[in-house]
Amino acid sequence: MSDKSPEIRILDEVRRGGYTASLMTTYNAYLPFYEQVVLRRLLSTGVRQNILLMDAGQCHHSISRDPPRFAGRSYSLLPMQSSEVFHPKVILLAGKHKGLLLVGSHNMTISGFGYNREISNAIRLHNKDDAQAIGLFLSAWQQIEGWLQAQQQHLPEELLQTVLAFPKSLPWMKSKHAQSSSEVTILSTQSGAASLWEQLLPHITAPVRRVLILGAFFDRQLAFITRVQQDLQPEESFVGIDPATVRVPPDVLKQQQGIQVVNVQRLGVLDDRQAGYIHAKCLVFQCADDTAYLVSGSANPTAAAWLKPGLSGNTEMVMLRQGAEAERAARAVGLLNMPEMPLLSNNDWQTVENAWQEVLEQKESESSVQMGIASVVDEGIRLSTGVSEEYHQYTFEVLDLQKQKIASPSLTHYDERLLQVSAETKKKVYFMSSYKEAKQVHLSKNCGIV
Amino acid sequence: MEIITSWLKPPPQTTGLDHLAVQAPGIKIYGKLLPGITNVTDRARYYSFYPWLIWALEQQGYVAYDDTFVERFRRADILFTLIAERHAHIAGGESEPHTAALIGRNNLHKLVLRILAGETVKLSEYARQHGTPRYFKNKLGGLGQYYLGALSEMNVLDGSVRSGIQYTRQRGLELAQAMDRCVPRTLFMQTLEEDSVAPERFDQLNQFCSCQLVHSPGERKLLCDLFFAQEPFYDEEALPRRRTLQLLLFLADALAEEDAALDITLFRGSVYGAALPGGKPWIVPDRLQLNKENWSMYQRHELLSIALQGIFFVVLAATEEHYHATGRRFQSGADLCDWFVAESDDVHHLASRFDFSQDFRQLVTETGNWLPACEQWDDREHEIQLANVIVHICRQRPLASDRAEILRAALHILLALKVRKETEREYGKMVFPERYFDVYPLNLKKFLEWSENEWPELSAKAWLRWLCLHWGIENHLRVALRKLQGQSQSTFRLRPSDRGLEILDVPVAVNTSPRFHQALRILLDVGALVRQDDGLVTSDLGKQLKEVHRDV
Repeated sequence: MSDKSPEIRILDEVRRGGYTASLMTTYNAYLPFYEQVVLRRLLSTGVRQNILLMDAGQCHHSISRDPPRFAGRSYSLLPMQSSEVFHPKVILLAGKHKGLLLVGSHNMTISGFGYNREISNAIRLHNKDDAQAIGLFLSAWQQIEGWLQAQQQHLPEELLQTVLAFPKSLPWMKSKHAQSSSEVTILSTQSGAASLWEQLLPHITAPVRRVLILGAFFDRQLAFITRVQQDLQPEESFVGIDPATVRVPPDVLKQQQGIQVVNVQRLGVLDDRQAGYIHAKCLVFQCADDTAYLVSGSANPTAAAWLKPGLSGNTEMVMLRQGAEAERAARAVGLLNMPEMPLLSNNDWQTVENAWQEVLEQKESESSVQMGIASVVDEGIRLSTGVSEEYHQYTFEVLDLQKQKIASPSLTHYDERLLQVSAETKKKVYFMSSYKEAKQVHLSKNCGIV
Repeated sequence: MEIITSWLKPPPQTTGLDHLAVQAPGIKIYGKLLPGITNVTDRARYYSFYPWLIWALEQQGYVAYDDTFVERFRRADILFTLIAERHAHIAGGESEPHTAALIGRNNLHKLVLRILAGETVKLSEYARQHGTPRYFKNKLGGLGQYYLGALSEMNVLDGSVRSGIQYTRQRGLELAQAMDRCVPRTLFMQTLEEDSVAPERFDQLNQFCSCQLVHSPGERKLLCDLFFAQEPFYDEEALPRRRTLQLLLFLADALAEEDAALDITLFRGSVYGAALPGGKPWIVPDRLQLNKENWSMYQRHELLSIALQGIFFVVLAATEEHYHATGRRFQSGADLCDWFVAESDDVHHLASRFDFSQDFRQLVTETGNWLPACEQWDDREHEIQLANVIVHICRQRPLASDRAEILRAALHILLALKVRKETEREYGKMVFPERYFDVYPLNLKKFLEWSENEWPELSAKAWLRWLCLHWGIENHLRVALRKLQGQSQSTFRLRPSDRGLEILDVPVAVNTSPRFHQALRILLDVGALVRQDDGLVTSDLGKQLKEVHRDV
C-alpha cells in the first residue's frame, strides 16, 4: 500500500451528491463563503436540510462583518455558547444510502478548506451494512446532540427540536445497525464527562516511547504538554511548530525538560504554492510494542482544550486512531518525520518570541457579547437569549434585508422575552440587533429551520 | 470501513481574468459589434481554407470522420503553416503578411528551421494527437480550437469536433470551390499522402500562402461578401460586422489625411471623442453613425473599467507593501480601506494633486473647470489619456507616489464620465440578457445611479473609500466566490484568512481586446487596406467596400 494518503478536497466531496442533510460545526466562519459556495453546492445536489453550528462570539463577529442572507431560510445557523470557545470542526453529510463524516481542524472559511495546512479524518459510509462506520456516525451525532442539549437556555426550543431530529430521516443511523470500532474512536468534551485528556488516556494501554505534538496555539503555562509528560513518561518528545505563525511562550517552551522543538515549516506542503498557515492539531504516541496512536481534530495542545472537565473549557472533538493503520496514516501525512526535522535555530526562536510579544501586547479581548435568535411568532418577535434581566437598558432595532432600520420596538413582556411589532414589520424583518451600553447584541431572525 | 486521515487539498488556484467582473459588459458589447470575428480568428484565409480542406478531403475519399480523416486533416493544417513559413523566407521582406497568427507556428518552429536548412521533413512527425512533438493539442487543430465557433456562427461549417464537421452547401461549398479554382489541390493532396515534403514542394504549393488570397479573385470576393454580409451571404445579424469594418476603413483614410496610422489607441480616442487627433470632427455617413456611437459606448464602459481596475490595483499594491513593512494584515475590507484612505502613502501623495476638501457634488461641479472638451481626446487631462496613464503606470511596478497618479487619473475619469452628457445614454439600445447587470454590477447604469443618489453628500475621501471597499474589495470577493462556486477554481487575488486578508497577487489594469487587430488583419488579408508610407489606406476594393450599404 502506498504511504501517501489520498487527498481530501472538501468542495469536491460536497459536490458528489447523494446526500440529503448536512450538519457542520465550526469555531469561525466566512459566511459569504458558506452561503455562496458551500451551501449553494449542497442545495444544488439536493441537500435540503442544512445546519451550521458556530461559536456564538465568532458568530457575532461574522454577522457584524458579513450579515447572512440565507440563515433561517435555506439553512439553520445556531450560535453555540461555551465556557471558553465552541471549537469543533465537523462535517456530517448524510443521505439515504451513504454518508460522509469529516472530523478535523478546518473551520468554515476559505482558508479552512485547504489553503491553511489542515488535517482531517474522513469516514465514508457506502452501504448500510457497514456497521463500524455507522457506529462512528452515530457516535459523532450523539456527541453533537450532547452539545445541543446544553444549549437549551440559549436557543429556541422549536429550533433545537428540529435540529435534534437530524438523524430521523436517515434509516441507517440507528444503534441496532451500529458496531463500535477497536481502531477508531471519536472523543469530545461533554457536559458531566471527564476532560478530553482523561477520556483519551485509558485508550493508551502500552508504555509510550515517543510523543509527537503538532499545534498552532499553546497555553501560557504549557500545562497540557507538562501533563502529557507526567502521565506518559515517554523516552522522547517532539513538539513541532512553524516559527512564523505559532503562538507559544518561547521561554516556557525552552524550559520544558525532555522536549525537542522542531521546525515543521515544510510539513504538509503539497506544492510550493500551498505552504499555507499550519493550523492542524495532532498528537502521535508511539509505543514500545510498535503500536501507535494518532489523535487529530480541533483540539490545540492547550489546557482549555484538553484538561478542563465537562464543558468548563473549550468544546472540542477529536478522532483517535490506533493500531497499524494509525501508524500508516501518521506516516503518510508526514508526522513521523518530525524527529528528523531541524531543531529551532536562534533566528526561529527570535521569530517565535516576536510573535509571542504581539500576543502579549494585544489587549484582552472585549468582554463577550450575547448572541441569540429572534423568532417571529404570532405575538411579535421572541428572543432566545437572556437579555431580559436588564431589558430596560437595551435599545432594539429591527432591520430589513438591506440592513435598514424598520422599527425600534421595546421589550414589553419581560417573562416571555417578547417584542411587540406590527404585522408589516414582521413581514419585512430580516435581522435584529440591540444595544446595551454600546455593546451590540445580535439576534438573527429565524436562524432556524424553514 | 473506509477511513482516511489526510491534509486537505484546496481548490486549484488560477490567475483568472476580470477580477472585478467589470470587463464583461465591454466584451459583450464588442462581441455584438463584430460577430463572426473573434480574438483568435486573425486570418481571412482560414475562413475559406477550412471548408476547402474538408471538401477536398471528401473528394479524395475521406468521407468518414475517423482517425484517418483526423490524421490527414492535421497534416494539412501543418502543411498550410509550413507553406507560408517557407514562402515568407523565399519572398523576403516583412513576414507578417505570410505568417502572422498561423496555426501551430511556435510548436513547428524546429521543423521550419529544418526546412529552411534544405531538409525533407515528415508532416506526420508533428501531426500526432498525443505525445510530443505535436503541432497542436486540439483534435482538429486550429479549426477545432479557434475557427469552428466563428465559421459555425457564419453558417460556413457545422458540426463539432466530437461528431465531425461538414461544410454547408450554401456557403461552405461556395467558398471551398472558389478557393479550389486558384490552388493546386491535387499536389496538396498528394503531398499529404506522401507525408515527406522536400523544400521545393513547398514552393510549388505557395498559392496556399495567406498572402496569395489577393490573387484568388473568386475566393477573395466571396470572403468580402462574407465579412461584409452582402449577397450571396447577406445576413441581417451580421450587419454590425459590416458596419464596424467600414468604420475602420473610413477611419484609416481619415487618419491618413492627418498623417496618422490607424491603431487601437487612435481607434479608442476617435470613436469616443467622435473626432480625429487634434479635435477635428470625424464625420461618417449616417448609416454608420449608430455603429460609431455603439463603439463610443463600448469605450465609455472601458474607461469605467480601467478607472476601477486602477483603484483596485493601487489598494492591493499599497496593502501588500504595508504588510511587507509591518507584518500587519487587516481583518476586514472595511478596516483595510479605513487605513488606506487615512494613512497610506498613496493617499498622502494624492492629497497634493486632488482636492480632498470637497464633497462629491462639489468635485463634479469643479470638473467643468479642468476637463477638456470630449473631442480633445489627445489632451493629457482627457479621460482617454488618463486611462492610458493608468494602464502604463500599472505595468511599471510603481511606488506610492506613482500609484497616487493612478488614483488621480481614476478619480478624474469617473468625474469626467459623470459630467459628460453622453454617459446618460448608458448602453443605448444595446440588448443585454435579463438581470445581466445584477451579475455585473460595475456598469454605467449603476455608476449613474450611485452618482445621482448616494455619492453627492460623500466627502472626497469617503467617496474614495466607498470605491475601494464596495467596488473594489467586496466586489472582488463576490466575483471570486462566484467563480469558486461555478468553476471550482480559486481566482482570489486577496483572500480572507485566519490571519486577516492575504494579498495573493496584484492584478494590473488592462484594456479588453475588442478584436481590433483581428479585424484590421482581415482587412489587410482581403486587400481592402494597404500599407502606404507607414500608414494604412483603403485600396480600390476598400473604397468599394466602404460604400456597401444596401441591406439586401
